[in-house]
Amino acid sequence: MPDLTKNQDGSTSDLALNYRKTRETTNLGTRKLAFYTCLFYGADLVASKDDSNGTYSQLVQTLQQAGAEIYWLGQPHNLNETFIRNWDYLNFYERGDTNAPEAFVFAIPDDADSPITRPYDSENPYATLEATITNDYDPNWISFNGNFFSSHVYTGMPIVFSGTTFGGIVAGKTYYIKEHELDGPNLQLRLSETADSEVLDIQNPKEIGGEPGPLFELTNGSGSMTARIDWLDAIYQGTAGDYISGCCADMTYPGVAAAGFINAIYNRFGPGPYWVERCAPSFGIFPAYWAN
Amino acid sequence: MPQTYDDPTGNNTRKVQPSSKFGTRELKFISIGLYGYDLYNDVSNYDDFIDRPSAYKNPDSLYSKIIRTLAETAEFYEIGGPSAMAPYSFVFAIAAETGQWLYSDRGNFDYNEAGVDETDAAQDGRGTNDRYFPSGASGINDLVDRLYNLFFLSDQYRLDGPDVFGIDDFNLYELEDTGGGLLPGRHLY
Repeated sequence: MPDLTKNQDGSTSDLALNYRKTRETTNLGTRKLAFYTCLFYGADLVASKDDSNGTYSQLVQTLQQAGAEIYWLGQPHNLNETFIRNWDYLNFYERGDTNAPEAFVFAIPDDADSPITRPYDSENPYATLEATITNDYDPNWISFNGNFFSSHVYTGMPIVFSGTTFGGIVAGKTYYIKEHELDGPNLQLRLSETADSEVLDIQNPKEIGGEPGPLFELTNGSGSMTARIDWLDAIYQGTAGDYISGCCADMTYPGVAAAGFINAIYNRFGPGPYWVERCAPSFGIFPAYWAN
Repeated sequence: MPQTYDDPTGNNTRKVQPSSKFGTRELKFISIGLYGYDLYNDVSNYDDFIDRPSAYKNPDSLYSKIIRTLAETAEFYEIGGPSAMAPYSFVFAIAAETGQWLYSDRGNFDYNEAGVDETDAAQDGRGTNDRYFPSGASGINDLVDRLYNLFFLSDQYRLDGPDVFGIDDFNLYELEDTGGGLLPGRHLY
């Protein structure tokens, strides 16, 4: 048997290198899991936690009847409670906020399949802006004469330039938004030439972008060129009916609503302020848009 | 057959209890955070920053080494990854009875005999626990010990080992179920 961990010259072989890689996974001892939080405004989830046929019990039943095989079930909390650490800097709820929802976390086997995409607004499927580069002041930022779709521009979103381009940008090539900020009403972007569509779970599918790669360094140049962004929703097959909606995407990370579960709750409880949102793992497991 | 739907027997079937034991053993979710090392780009803050997103997937990245180190003593059920949103940390889940999970009434990891967390942070809900300092027992002793060996070529009782990766320090938090998500809560180290 040859030594597969080293090459003949003593260097480490590709085979050995491959086995010293690690990827995030939930398939350890169980199926691949997806975590969700079910938020319910004005409900009595906490008070009814131990009640027979309480709202919490009914909600869990409703999710199961919608096809959810629950692999992890959390305890309901009011999000205005005092937790061990203070999460005010997330888009969380302040202590004692009477408008805060009650919520619980659950996990199901993740069967979200490849998404289909469609324009969020079929009458206005994309937006274009004029772009300029002022590379000498703050390198690699592109300034625009306005903002695409209000503030609904998120990290990883594809962007394509056309017309006479400069700064090293190639017309017709897809770039990805790496960083963004507002200068008054005007958007400023830094770009990447690549995007990884698998980094943040289904949060950044390649159909609508991905986790941006290294910064694309602009060469000096100035002038005006046209940029286009397509504002897309991504809809997944699967039990949860995950739905990345352009409508609610904010400046950094898009939200992922579990439309299938939301519909099931509607059928059981009727119209009401509730929401089921997919969580993304980062330093915790919570809806990524809370970090916007 | 008597009708049992409306009596206490029936009522008990319509209760729900939180659990992590569906298809798995009881799980503990933990967040690890490093000071001074960007896991996502796999680069120490002491070095020139290298913009290489997702480098944590490379062979022998520090992320890869941390997972292999922890797997020596804990049984993983989930491995999260660092991201652009949280490049210095990630979460993982382990079987609750692995990792030498000890609740101690010593040091400032302060559980009383009834199992009630009496740390300052648990009492007032704000602030941060005082850092655990070697006191003979910690929340998850084996994991801390292994991480020390990895980061500092030392163990938790010797704080003067060489800093191999340019890491100032690290945190371990048990995730707290807040209802809205699982967020770093009890300070384990």
